[in-house]
Amino acid sequence: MAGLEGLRHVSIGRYVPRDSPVHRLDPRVKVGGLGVLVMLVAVLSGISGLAMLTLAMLALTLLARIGLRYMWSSIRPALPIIIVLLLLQLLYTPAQPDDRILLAWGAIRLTWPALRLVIVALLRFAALMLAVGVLTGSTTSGALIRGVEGLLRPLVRLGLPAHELALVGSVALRFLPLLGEQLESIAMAQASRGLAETRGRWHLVANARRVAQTIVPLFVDVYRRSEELALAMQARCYNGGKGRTHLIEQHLVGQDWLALAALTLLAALAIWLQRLP
Amino acid sequence: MDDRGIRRVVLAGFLLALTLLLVFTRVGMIPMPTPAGNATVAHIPAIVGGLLEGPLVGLIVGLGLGFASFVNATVPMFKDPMVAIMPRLFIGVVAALVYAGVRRLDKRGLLAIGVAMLLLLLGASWQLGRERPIMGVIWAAVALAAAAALWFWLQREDVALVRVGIAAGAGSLTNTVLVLGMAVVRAYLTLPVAAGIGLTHGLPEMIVSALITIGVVAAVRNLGGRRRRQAKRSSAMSGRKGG
Repeated sequence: MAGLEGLRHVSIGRYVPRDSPVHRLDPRVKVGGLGVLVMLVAVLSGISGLAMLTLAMLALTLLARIGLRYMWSSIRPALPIIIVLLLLQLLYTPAQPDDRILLAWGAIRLTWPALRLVIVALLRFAALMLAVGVLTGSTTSGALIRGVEGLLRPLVRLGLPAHELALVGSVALRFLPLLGEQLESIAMAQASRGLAETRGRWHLVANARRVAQTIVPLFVDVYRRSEELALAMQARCYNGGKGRTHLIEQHLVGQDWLALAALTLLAALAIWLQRLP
Repeated sequence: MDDRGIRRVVLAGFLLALTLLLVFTRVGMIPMPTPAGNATVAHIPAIVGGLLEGPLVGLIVGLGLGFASFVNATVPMFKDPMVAIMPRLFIGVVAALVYAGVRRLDKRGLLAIGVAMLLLLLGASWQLGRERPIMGVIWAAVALAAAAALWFWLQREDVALVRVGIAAGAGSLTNTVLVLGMAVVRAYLTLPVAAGIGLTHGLPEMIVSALITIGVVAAVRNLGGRRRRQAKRSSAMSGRKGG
Protein backbone atom coordinates (compact mmCIF):
# COMPACT_ATOMS: atom_id res chain seq x y z
CA MET A 1 0.00 0.00 0.00
CA ALA A 2 3.06 2.23 0.17
CA GLY A 3 2.53 3.78 -3.25
CA LEU A 4 -0.92 4.99 -2.34
CA GLU A 5 -0.02 7.92 -0.16
CA GLY A 6 -0.16 11.17 -2.03
CA LEU A 7 -2.49 9.73 -4.63
CA ARG A 8 -4.77 12.70 -4.12
CA HIS A 9 -2.10 14.93 -5.57
CA VAL A 10 -2.40 13.25 -8.93
CA SER A 11 -1.91 15.77 -11.67
CA ILE A 12 -1.14 15.43 -15.32
CA GLY A 13 1.95 17.40 -16.14
CA ARG A 14 1.90 19.82 -13.24
CA TYR A 15 1.21 23.50 -14.09
CA VAL A 16 4.17 25.75 -13.42
CA PRO A 17 3.03 29.32 -12.74
CA ARG A 18 5.39 31.76 -14.48
CA ASP A 19 5.06 35.04 -16.31
CA SER A 20 6.34 34.17 -19.76
CA PRO A 21 5.29 34.81 -23.36
CA VAL A 22 4.37 31.12 -23.67
CA HIS A 23 2.10 31.30 -20.62
CA ARG A 24 0.32 34.33 -22.09
CA LEU A 25 -0.43 32.69 -25.44
CA ASP A 26 -4.00 31.88 -26.38
CA PRO A 27 -4.68 28.28 -25.28
CA ARG A 28 -6.19 27.50 -28.69
CA VAL A 29 -2.85 28.30 -30.32
CA LYS A 30 -0.99 26.11 -27.85
CA VAL A 31 -3.30 23.11 -28.14
CA GLY A 32 -3.40 23.37 -31.93
CA GLY A 33 0.37 23.76 -32.00
CA LEU A 34 0.81 20.55 -30.02
CA GLY A 35 -1.48 18.78 -32.49
CA VAL A 36 0.61 19.95 -35.45
CA LEU A 37 3.84 18.96 -33.70
CA VAL A 38 2.58 15.50 -32.82
CA MET A 39 1.63 14.94 -36.44
CA LEU A 40 4.99 16.21 -37.69
CA VAL A 41 6.93 14.05 -35.27
CA ALA A 42 4.89 10.96 -36.14
CA VAL A 43 5.24 11.47 -39.90
CA LEU A 44 8.84 12.66 -40.22
CA SER A 45 11.59 10.08 -40.14
CA GLY A 46 14.71 12.11 -41.02
CA ILE A 47 17.25 12.71 -38.28
CA SER A 48 17.92 16.34 -39.17
CA GLY A 49 14.26 17.36 -39.21
CA LEU A 50 13.54 15.63 -35.88
CA ALA A 51 16.68 17.09 -34.32
CA MET A 52 15.60 20.54 -35.44
CA LEU A 53 12.15 20.03 -33.87
CA THR A 54 13.72 18.81 -30.63
CA LEU A 55 15.96 21.86 -30.47
CA ALA A 56 12.97 24.12 -31.16
CA MET A 57 11.06 22.49 -28.29
CA LEU A 58 14.08 22.95 -26.04
CA ALA A 59 14.15 26.63 -26.94
CA LEU A 60 10.42 26.86 -26.22
CA THR A 61 10.94 25.27 -22.80
CA LEU A 62 13.54 27.91 -21.99
CA LEU A 63 11.28 30.66 -23.34
CA ALA A 64 8.45 29.43 -21.10
CA ARG A 65 10.88 29.52 -18.14
CA ILE A 66 9.60 26.13 -17.07
CA GLY A 67 13.06 24.89 -16.25
CA LEU A 68 14.87 21.89 -17.60
CA ARG A 69 14.98 20.30 -14.18
CA TYR A 70 11.18 20.00 -14.22
CA MET A 71 11.33 18.33 -17.64
CA TRP A 72 14.15 16.07 -16.53
CA SER A 73 12.25 14.95 -13.45
CA SER A 74 9.39 13.71 -15.64
CA ILE A 75 11.72 11.77 -17.95
CA ARG A 76 14.16 10.36 -15.42
CA PRO A 77 12.08 7.47 -13.98
CA ALA A 78 11.64 6.07 -17.46
CA LEU A 79 15.27 6.33 -18.45
CA PRO A 80 16.53 2.82 -17.53
CA ILE A 81 13.72 1.14 -19.49
CA ILE A 82 14.33 3.35 -22.50
CA ILE A 83 18.04 2.63 -22.50
CA VAL A 84 17.57 -1.14 -22.23
CA LEU A 85 14.96 -1.17 -25.01
CA LEU A 86 17.09 0.93 -27.30
CA LEU A 87 20.12 -1.28 -26.67
CA LEU A 88 18.05 -4.35 -27.50
CA GLN A 89 16.84 -2.73 -30.68
CA LEU A 90 20.38 -1.70 -31.53
CA LEU A 91 21.72 -5.22 -31.17
CA TYR A 92 18.86 -7.28 -32.48
CA THR A 93 17.84 -5.43 -35.61
CA PRO A 94 18.59 -8.02 -38.29
CA ALA A 95 21.45 -6.91 -40.55
CA GLN A 96 20.97 -6.87 -44.29
CA PRO A 97 23.96 -8.02 -46.34
CA ASP A 98 24.62 -4.62 -47.92
CA ASP A 99 24.29 -2.56 -44.71
CA ARG A 100 27.19 -0.43 -43.65
CA ILE A 101 28.67 -2.05 -40.56
CA LEU A 102 29.93 0.42 -38.00
CA LEU A 103 31.21 -1.97 -35.42
CA ALA A 104 31.78 -5.69 -35.40
CA TRP A 105 32.70 -7.32 -32.12
CA GLY A 106 32.27 -11.06 -31.83
CA ALA A 107 28.70 -11.93 -32.71
CA ILE A 108 27.58 -8.32 -32.29
CA ARG A 109 27.24 -6.25 -35.42
CA LEU A 110 26.27 -2.63 -35.16
CA THR A 111 24.82 -1.47 -38.46
CA TRP A 112 24.01 2.03 -39.60
CA PRO A 113 20.26 1.38 -40.20
CA ALA A 114 19.88 0.02 -36.67
CA LEU A 115 21.67 3.01 -35.18
CA ARG A 116 19.53 5.31 -37.30
CA LEU A 117 16.32 3.71 -36.03
CA VAL A 118 17.45 4.19 -32.45
CA ILE A 119 18.40 7.83 -32.98
CA VAL A 120 15.05 8.54 -34.65
CA ALA A 121 13.15 6.89 -31.79
CA LEU A 122 15.12 8.89 -29.21
CA LEU A 123 14.57 12.20 -31.01
CA ARG A 124 10.85 11.52 -31.41
CA PHE A 125 10.59 10.73 -27.72
CA ALA A 126 12.50 13.85 -26.68
CA ALA A 127 10.55 16.20 -28.95
CA LEU A 128 7.16 14.87 -27.79
CA MET A 129 8.12 14.84 -24.10
CA LEU A 130 9.23 18.45 -24.33
CA ALA A 131 6.19 19.56 -26.34
CA VAL A 132 3.71 17.93 -23.94
CA GLY A 133 5.68 19.25 -20.97
CA VAL A 134 5.63 22.82 -22.28
CA LEU A 135 1.90 22.68 -22.95
CA THR A 136 0.86 21.26 -19.58
CA GLY A 137 3.47 23.30 -17.72
CA SER A 138 2.37 26.61 -19.19
CA THR A 139 -1.40 26.14 -19.36
CA THR A 140 -3.88 25.74 -16.51
CA SER A 141 -6.39 22.91 -16.87
CA GLY A 142 -9.21 25.43 -17.29
CA ALA A 143 -7.41 27.18 -20.13
CA LEU A 144 -6.62 23.80 -21.69
CA ILE A 145 -10.32 22.93 -21.75
CA ARG A 146 -11.19 26.35 -23.18
CA GLY A 147 -8.54 25.85 -25.84
CA VAL A 148 -9.93 22.48 -26.89
CA GLU A 149 -13.47 23.84 -26.94
CA GLY A 150 -12.42 26.85 -28.98
CA LEU A 151 -10.60 24.68 -31.49
CA LEU A 152 -13.60 22.39 -31.88
CA ARG A 153 -16.08 25.26 -32.26
CA PRO A 154 -15.89 25.40 -36.08
CA LEU A 155 -16.91 21.72 -36.17
CA VAL A 156 -20.14 22.38 -34.28
CA ARG A 157 -21.86 23.08 -37.59
CA LEU A 158 -20.96 19.54 -38.69
CA GLY A 159 -22.77 18.20 -35.65
CA LEU A 160 -19.78 17.77 -33.36
CA PRO A 161 -20.77 18.55 -29.75
CA ALA A 162 -17.78 20.78 -28.90
CA HIS A 163 -19.22 22.13 -25.68
CA GLU A 164 -20.19 18.68 -24.46
CA LEU A 165 -16.72 17.28 -25.20
CA ALA A 166 -15.15 20.16 -23.30
CA LEU A 167 -17.55 19.44 -20.43
CA VAL A 168 -16.44 15.80 -20.40
CA GLY A 169 -12.87 17.03 -20.09
CA SER A 170 -13.60 19.44 -17.29
CA VAL A 171 -15.63 16.88 -15.32
CA ALA A 172 -12.71 14.48 -15.66
CA LEU A 173 -10.12 17.00 -14.50
CA ARG A 174 -12.34 18.26 -11.70
CA PHE A 175 -13.07 14.81 -10.25
CA LEU A 176 -9.66 13.24 -10.79
CA PRO A 177 -8.28 14.28 -7.37
CA LEU A 178 -11.53 13.21 -5.71
CA LEU A 179 -11.38 9.76 -7.28
CA GLY A 180 -7.75 9.54 -6.21
CA GLU A 181 -8.82 10.15 -2.65
CA GLN A 182 -11.61 7.60 -3.02
CA LEU A 183 -9.20 5.01 -4.40
CA GLU A 184 -6.93 5.63 -1.44
CA SER A 185 -9.68 5.05 1.09
CA ILE A 186 -10.98 1.95 -0.71
CA ALA A 187 -7.46 0.52 -0.79
CA MET A 188 -7.02 1.22 2.91
CA ALA A 189 -10.40 -0.23 3.76
CA GLN A 190 -9.58 -3.41 1.86
CA ALA A 191 -6.14 -3.57 3.46
CA SER A 192 -7.70 -3.29 6.89
CA ARG A 193 -9.86 -6.28 6.01
CA GLY A 194 -6.70 -8.23 5.30
CA LEU A 195 -6.56 -7.92 1.52
CA ALA A 196 -3.23 -9.23 0.34
CA GLU A 197 -0.40 -6.98 -0.75
CA THR A 198 0.89 -7.21 -4.29
CA ARG A 199 2.63 -10.54 -4.60
CA GLY A 200 5.34 -11.73 -6.93
CA ARG A 201 4.81 -11.99 -10.65
CA TRP A 202 3.74 -15.63 -10.53
CA HIS A 203 0.77 -15.05 -8.24
CA LEU A 204 -1.37 -14.16 -11.21
CA VAL A 205 -4.79 -14.92 -9.84
CA ALA A 206 -4.07 -13.36 -6.46
CA ASN A 207 -2.85 -10.16 -8.07
CA ALA A 208 -5.79 -9.97 -10.46
CA ARG A 209 -8.19 -10.49 -7.57
CA ARG A 210 -6.49 -7.80 -5.53
CA VAL A 211 -6.82 -5.31 -8.39
CA ALA A 212 -10.45 -6.29 -8.95
CA GLN A 213 -11.32 -5.88 -5.28
CA THR A 214 -10.02 -2.34 -5.36
CA ILE A 215 -11.38 -1.31 -8.73
CA VAL A 216 -14.91 -2.69 -8.75
CA PRO A 217 -15.98 -0.61 -5.71
CA LEU A 218 -14.34 2.40 -7.34
CA PHE A 219 -16.35 1.87 -10.51
CA VAL A 220 -19.59 1.56 -8.58
CA ASP A 221 -18.73 4.72 -6.68
CA VAL A 222 -18.01 6.49 -9.97
CA TYR A 223 -21.39 5.47 -11.31
CA ARG A 224 -23.19 6.66 -8.20
CA ARG A 225 -21.41 10.01 -8.22
CA SER A 226 -22.10 10.56 -11.89
CA GLU A 227 -25.81 9.88 -11.37
CA GLU A 228 -25.81 12.43 -8.56
CA LEU A 229 -24.01 15.04 -10.61
CA ALA A 230 -26.32 14.51 -13.61
CA LEU A 231 -29.35 14.89 -11.34
CA ALA A 232 -27.92 18.07 -9.83
CA MET A 233 -27.28 19.52 -13.28
CA GLN A 234 -30.80 18.66 -14.43
CA ALA A 235 -32.19 20.27 -11.32
CA ARG A 236 -30.35 23.47 -12.26
CA CYS A 237 -31.74 23.39 -15.80
CA TYR A 238 -28.42 22.77 -17.50
CA ASN A 239 -29.09 22.43 -21.19
CA GLY A 240 -25.79 22.14 -22.95
CA GLY A 241 -23.85 24.59 -25.07
CA LYS A 242 -26.77 26.06 -26.97
CA GLY A 243 -26.86 29.86 -26.63
CA ARG A 244 -24.23 29.86 -23.92
CA THR A 245 -21.89 32.81 -23.41
CA HIS A 246 -18.47 32.89 -21.77
CA LEU A 247 -16.96 35.00 -19.03
CA ILE A 248 -13.63 35.11 -20.84
CA GLU A 249 -13.90 35.94 -24.54
CA GLN A 250 -10.89 34.68 -26.44
CA HIS A 251 -9.35 36.82 -29.17
CA LEU A 252 -6.14 36.17 -31.02
CA VAL A 253 -3.74 39.10 -30.48
CA GLY A 254 -0.36 39.98 -31.98
CA GLN A 255 1.73 37.43 -30.11
CA ASP A 256 -0.67 34.63 -31.03
CA TRP A 257 -0.33 35.43 -34.73
CA LEU A 258 3.44 35.60 -34.24
CA ALA A 259 3.40 32.14 -32.65
CA LEU A 260 1.29 30.75 -35.49
CA ALA A 261 3.72 32.20 -38.03
CA ALA A 262 6.65 30.67 -36.16
CA LEU A 263 4.86 27.31 -36.07
CA THR A 264 4.21 27.41 -39.81
CA LEU A 265 7.84 28.27 -40.45
CA LEU A 266 8.97 25.44 -38.18
CA ALA A 267 6.74 22.92 -39.92
CA ALA A 268 7.90 24.04 -43.37
CA LEU A 269 11.55 23.86 -42.30
CA ALA A 270 11.09 20.40 -40.77
CA ILE A 271 9.45 19.08 -43.94
CA TRP A 272 12.16 20.67 -46.08
CA LEU A 273 14.88 19.09 -43.91
CA GLN A 274 13.28 15.72 -44.61
CA ARG A 275 15.12 15.75 -47.95
CA LEU A 276 18.46 15.54 -46.13
CA PRO A 277 19.43 12.17 -44.67
CA MET B 1 -29.66 18.61 -24.10
CA ASP B 2 -32.07 16.01 -22.71
CA ASP B 3 -31.65 14.05 -19.49
CA ARG B 4 -30.03 11.12 -21.23
CA GLY B 5 -27.53 13.49 -22.85
CA ILE B 6 -26.52 15.02 -19.53
CA ARG B 7 -26.06 11.59 -17.96
CA ARG B 8 -23.93 10.50 -20.88
CA VAL B 9 -21.68 13.53 -20.75
CA VAL B 10 -21.23 13.28 -16.99
CA LEU B 11 -20.58 9.53 -16.96
CA ALA B 12 -18.08 9.95 -19.80
CA GLY B 13 -16.29 12.60 -17.75
CA PHE B 14 -16.14 10.38 -14.68
CA LEU B 15 -14.94 7.34 -16.58
CA LEU B 16 -12.32 9.51 -18.25
CA ALA B 17 -11.11 10.60 -14.82
CA LEU B 18 -10.98 6.96 -13.74
CA THR B 19 -8.99 6.06 -16.84
CA LEU B 20 -6.47 8.81 -16.15
CA LEU B 21 -6.22 7.64 -12.54
CA LEU B 22 -5.58 4.03 -13.55
CA VAL B 23 -2.98 5.01 -16.14
CA PHE B 24 -1.06 7.59 -14.13
CA THR B 25 -0.97 5.84 -10.75
CA ARG B 26 -0.25 2.34 -12.03
CA VAL B 27 -2.91 1.02 -9.67
CA GLY B 28 -4.42 -0.80 -12.61
CA MET B 29 -1.29 -2.81 -13.30
CA ILE B 30 -1.23 -6.53 -12.64
CA PRO B 31 2.31 -7.90 -12.44
CA MET B 32 2.89 -10.74 -14.91
CA PRO B 33 5.64 -13.30 -15.32
CA THR B 34 6.51 -12.09 -18.83
CA PRO B 35 9.12 -9.69 -20.19
CA ALA B 36 6.56 -7.00 -20.98
CA GLY B 37 5.87 -6.83 -17.24
CA ASN B 38 2.27 -5.89 -16.57
CA ALA B 39 -1.24 -6.59 -17.71
CA THR B 40 -3.45 -3.54 -17.58
CA VAL B 41 -7.03 -2.88 -16.57
CA ALA B 42 -6.92 0.74 -17.69
CA HIS B 43 -9.05 -0.01 -20.73
CA ILE B 44 -11.99 -1.24 -18.63
CA PRO B 45 -13.58 2.21 -18.15
CA ALA B 46 -13.85 2.48 -21.94
CA ILE B 47 -15.60 -0.91 -22.05
CA VAL B 48 -17.93 -0.01 -19.19
CA GLY B 49 -18.75 3.32 -20.85
CA GLY B 50 -19.58 1.55 -24.09
CA LEU B 51 -21.79 -1.02 -22.33
CA LEU B 52 -23.67 1.39 -20.10
CA GLU B 53 -24.14 4.44 -22.34
CA GLY B 54 -23.38 3.42 -25.90
CA PRO B 55 -20.56 3.62 -28.46
CA LEU B 56 -20.09 7.40 -28.30
CA VAL B 57 -19.19 7.36 -24.60
CA GLY B 58 -16.92 4.38 -25.24
CA LEU B 59 -15.21 6.31 -28.02
CA ILE B 60 -14.60 9.37 -25.86
CA VAL B 61 -13.22 7.38 -22.93
CA GLY B 62 -11.08 5.36 -25.37
CA LEU B 63 -9.69 8.59 -26.81
CA GLY B 64 -8.82 9.67 -23.28
CA LEU B 65 -7.09 6.36 -22.61
CA GLY B 66 -5.08 6.71 -25.80
CA PHE B 67 -4.07 10.24 -24.96
CA ALA B 68 -3.14 9.31 -21.40
CA SER B 69 -1.01 6.36 -22.43
CA PHE B 70 0.57 8.54 -25.10
CA VAL B 71 1.50 11.24 -22.58
CA ASN B 72 2.55 8.71 -19.96
CA ALA B 73 4.50 6.46 -22.31
CA THR B 74 7.99 5.43 -21.31
CA VAL B 75 8.75 3.29 -24.36
CA PRO B 76 9.14 4.75 -27.87
CA MET B 77 6.43 2.39 -29.14
CA PHE B 78 3.70 4.21 -27.22
CA LYS B 79 5.09 7.64 -28.10
CA ASP B 80 3.65 6.96 -31.54
CA PRO B 81 0.04 8.18 -31.71
CA MET B 82 -0.76 5.54 -34.29
CA VAL B 83 -0.02 2.85 -31.67
CA ALA B 84 -1.02 4.65 -28.48
CA ILE B 85 -4.17 6.52 -29.50
CA MET B 86 -5.74 5.18 -32.68
CA PRO B 87 -6.44 1.56 -31.57
CA ARG B 88 -7.92 2.72 -28.25
CA LEU B 89 -10.75 4.53 -30.02
CA PHE B 90 -12.27 1.19 -30.96
CA ILE B 91 -12.31 -0.52 -27.53
CA GLY B 92 -15.53 0.98 -26.24
CA VAL B 93 -17.13 1.08 -29.68
CA VAL B 94 -16.57 -2.62 -30.31
CA ALA B 95 -17.73 -3.51 -26.80
CA ALA B 96 -20.91 -1.47 -27.28
CA LEU B 97 -21.65 -2.94 -30.71
CA VAL B 98 -21.03 -6.52 -29.59
CA TYR B 99 -23.25 -5.90 -26.58
CA ALA B 100 -25.99 -4.50 -28.80
CA GLY B 101 -25.59 -7.62 -30.97
CA VAL B 102 -25.82 -10.23 -28.20
CA ARG B 103 -28.29 -8.32 -26.08
CA ARG B 104 -31.40 -9.94 -27.54
CA LEU B 105 -29.94 -13.45 -27.67
CA ASP B 106 -31.00 -16.10 -25.21
CA LYS B 107 -28.89 -19.01 -24.03
CA ARG B 108 -29.48 -21.04 -27.17
CA GLY B 109 -28.54 -18.13 -29.43
CA LEU B 110 -25.31 -17.55 -27.51
CA LEU B 111 -24.45 -21.25 -27.78
CA ALA B 112 -25.13 -21.18 -31.52
CA ILE B 113 -22.77 -18.22 -31.96
CA GLY B 114 -20.20 -19.98 -29.77
CA VAL B 115 -20.36 -23.08 -31.98
CA ALA B 116 -20.05 -20.96 -35.14
CA MET B 117 -17.00 -19.17 -33.71
CA LEU B 118 -15.47 -22.49 -32.69
CA LEU B 119 -15.86 -23.89 -36.21
CA LEU B 120 -14.37 -20.70 -37.66
CA LEU B 121 -11.40 -20.82 -35.28
CA LEU B 122 -10.84 -24.54 -35.91
CA GLY B 123 -10.85 -23.84 -39.66
CA ALA B 124 -8.29 -21.08 -39.11
CA SER B 125 -6.12 -23.37 -37.00
CA TRP B 126 -6.30 -26.02 -39.75
CA GLN B 127 -5.04 -23.45 -42.25
CA LEU B 128 -2.34 -22.32 -39.81
CA GLY B 129 -1.39 -25.89 -38.95
CA ARG B 130 -0.56 -26.75 -42.53
CA GLU B 131 2.31 -24.28 -42.50
CA ARG B 132 3.28 -24.24 -38.84
CA PRO B 133 1.90 -27.34 -37.10
CA ILE B 134 2.75 -26.17 -33.56
CA MET B 135 0.96 -22.86 -33.93
CA GLY B 136 -2.03 -24.67 -35.40
CA VAL B 137 -2.25 -27.02 -32.44
CA ILE B 138 -1.93 -24.15 -29.94
CA TRP B 139 -4.59 -22.17 -31.79
CA ALA B 140 -6.98 -25.14 -31.88
CA ALA B 141 -6.39 -25.86 -28.18
CA VAL B 142 -7.11 -22.23 -27.28
CA ALA B 143 -10.29 -22.28 -29.39
CA LEU B 144 -11.51 -25.52 -27.78
CA ALA B 145 -10.71 -24.29 -24.30
CA ALA B 146 -12.57 -21.06 -24.96
CA ALA B 147 -15.60 -22.92 -26.27
CA ALA B 148 -15.61 -25.27 -23.28
CA ALA B 149 -15.26 -22.32 -20.91
CA LEU B 150 -18.20 -20.57 -22.59
CA TRP B 151 -20.32 -23.69 -22.32
CA PHE B 152 -19.62 -24.27 -18.63
CA TRP B 153 -20.11 -20.60 -17.94
CA LEU B 154 -23.51 -20.61 -19.63
CA GLN B 155 -24.55 -23.59 -17.49
CA ARG B 156 -23.60 -21.89 -14.26
CA GLU B 157 -24.20 -18.20 -14.74
CA ASP B 158 -27.03 -15.83 -15.50
CA VAL B 159 -27.26 -15.22 -19.27
CA ALA B 160 -27.33 -11.43 -18.75
CA LEU B 161 -23.90 -11.61 -17.15
CA VAL B 162 -22.52 -13.83 -19.88
CA ARG B 163 -23.60 -11.24 -22.46
CA VAL B 164 -21.74 -8.52 -20.56
CA GLY B 165 -18.70 -10.76 -20.25
CA ILE B 166 -18.65 -11.51 -23.98
CA ALA B 167 -18.89 -7.83 -24.88
CA ALA B 168 -16.16 -6.93 -22.39
CA GLY B 169 -13.91 -9.69 -23.73
CA ALA B 170 -14.45 -8.43 -27.26
CA GLY B 171 -13.50 -4.90 -26.19
CA SER B 172 -10.36 -6.12 -24.47
CA LEU B 173 -9.44 -8.26 -27.45
CA THR B 174 -9.84 -5.20 -29.69
CA ASN B 175 -7.30 -3.38 -27.56
CA THR B 176 -4.77 -6.22 -27.67
CA VAL B 177 -5.12 -7.02 -31.36
CA LEU B 178 -5.15 -3.45 -32.66
CA VAL B 179 -2.31 -2.17 -30.48
CA LEU B 180 -0.05 -5.11 -31.29
CA GLY B 181 -1.14 -5.02 -34.92
CA MET B 182 -0.25 -1.34 -35.23
CA ALA B 183 3.05 -2.01 -33.44
CA VAL B 184 3.85 -4.63 -36.08
CA VAL B 185 2.72 -2.37 -38.94
CA ARG B 186 4.85 0.49 -37.63
CA ALA B 187 7.77 -1.96 -37.19
CA TYR B 188 8.25 -1.65 -33.42
CA LEU B 189 7.71 -5.39 -32.95
CA THR B 190 8.09 -8.42 -35.17
CA LEU B 191 5.08 -10.63 -35.79
CA PRO B 192 6.18 -13.61 -33.61
CA VAL B 193 6.99 -11.30 -30.69
CA ALA B 194 3.60 -9.60 -31.03
CA ALA B 195 1.85 -12.97 -31.20
CA GLY B 196 3.68 -14.06 -28.04
CA ILE B 197 2.68 -10.91 -26.15
CA GLY B 198 -0.87 -11.33 -27.45
CA LEU B 199 -1.13 -14.86 -26.07
CA THR B 200 0.55 -14.23 -22.71
CA HIS B 201 -0.99 -10.81 -22.05
CA GLY B 202 -4.06 -10.58 -24.23
CA LEU B 203 -5.76 -13.67 -22.81
CA PRO B 204 -5.32 -12.90 -19.10
CA GLU B 205 -6.25 -9.28 -19.75
CA MET B 206 -9.37 -10.44 -21.55
CA ILE B 207 -10.44 -12.71 -18.71
CA VAL B 208 -9.70 -10.12 -16.02
CA SER B 209 -11.53 -7.35 -17.88
CA ALA B 210 -14.53 -9.60 -18.49
CA LEU B 211 -14.70 -10.43 -14.77
CA ILE B 212 -14.27 -6.84 -13.59
CA THR B 213 -16.76 -5.49 -16.13
CA ILE B 214 -19.29 -8.12 -15.06
CA GLY B 215 -18.78 -7.06 -11.46
CA VAL B 216 -19.31 -3.42 -12.29
CA VAL B 217 -22.25 -3.76 -14.67
CA ALA B 218 -23.97 -6.28 -12.42
CA ALA B 219 -23.64 -3.95 -9.48
CA VAL B 220 -24.97 -0.82 -11.18
CA ARG B 221 -27.63 -2.54 -13.28
CA ASN B 222 -28.72 -5.03 -10.61
CA LEU B 223 -28.10 -8.05 -12.83
CA GLY B 224 -27.19 -11.55 -11.83
CA GLY B 225 -30.12 -12.32 -9.59
CA ARG B 226 -29.67 -16.09 -9.84
CA ARG B 227 -26.12 -16.17 -8.55
CA ARG B 228 -26.89 -13.61 -5.90
CA ARG B 229 -29.92 -15.55 -4.65
CA GLN B 230 -27.83 -18.70 -4.51
CA ALA B 231 -25.10 -16.88 -2.61
CA LYS B 232 -27.66 -15.53 -0.16
CA ARG B 233 -29.14 -18.97 0.38
CA SER B 234 -25.77 -20.64 0.93
CA SER B 235 -24.52 -17.89 3.20
CA ALA B 236 -27.71 -18.14 5.24
CA MET B 237 -27.09 -21.84 5.68
CA SER B 238 -23.37 -21.94 6.33
CA GLY B 239 -22.68 -18.52 7.78
CA ARG B 240 -20.38 -16.01 6.13
CA LYS B 241 -16.93 -17.18 5.21
CA GLY B 242 -14.14 -14.62 5.66
CA GLY B 243 -12.78 -12.63 2.74
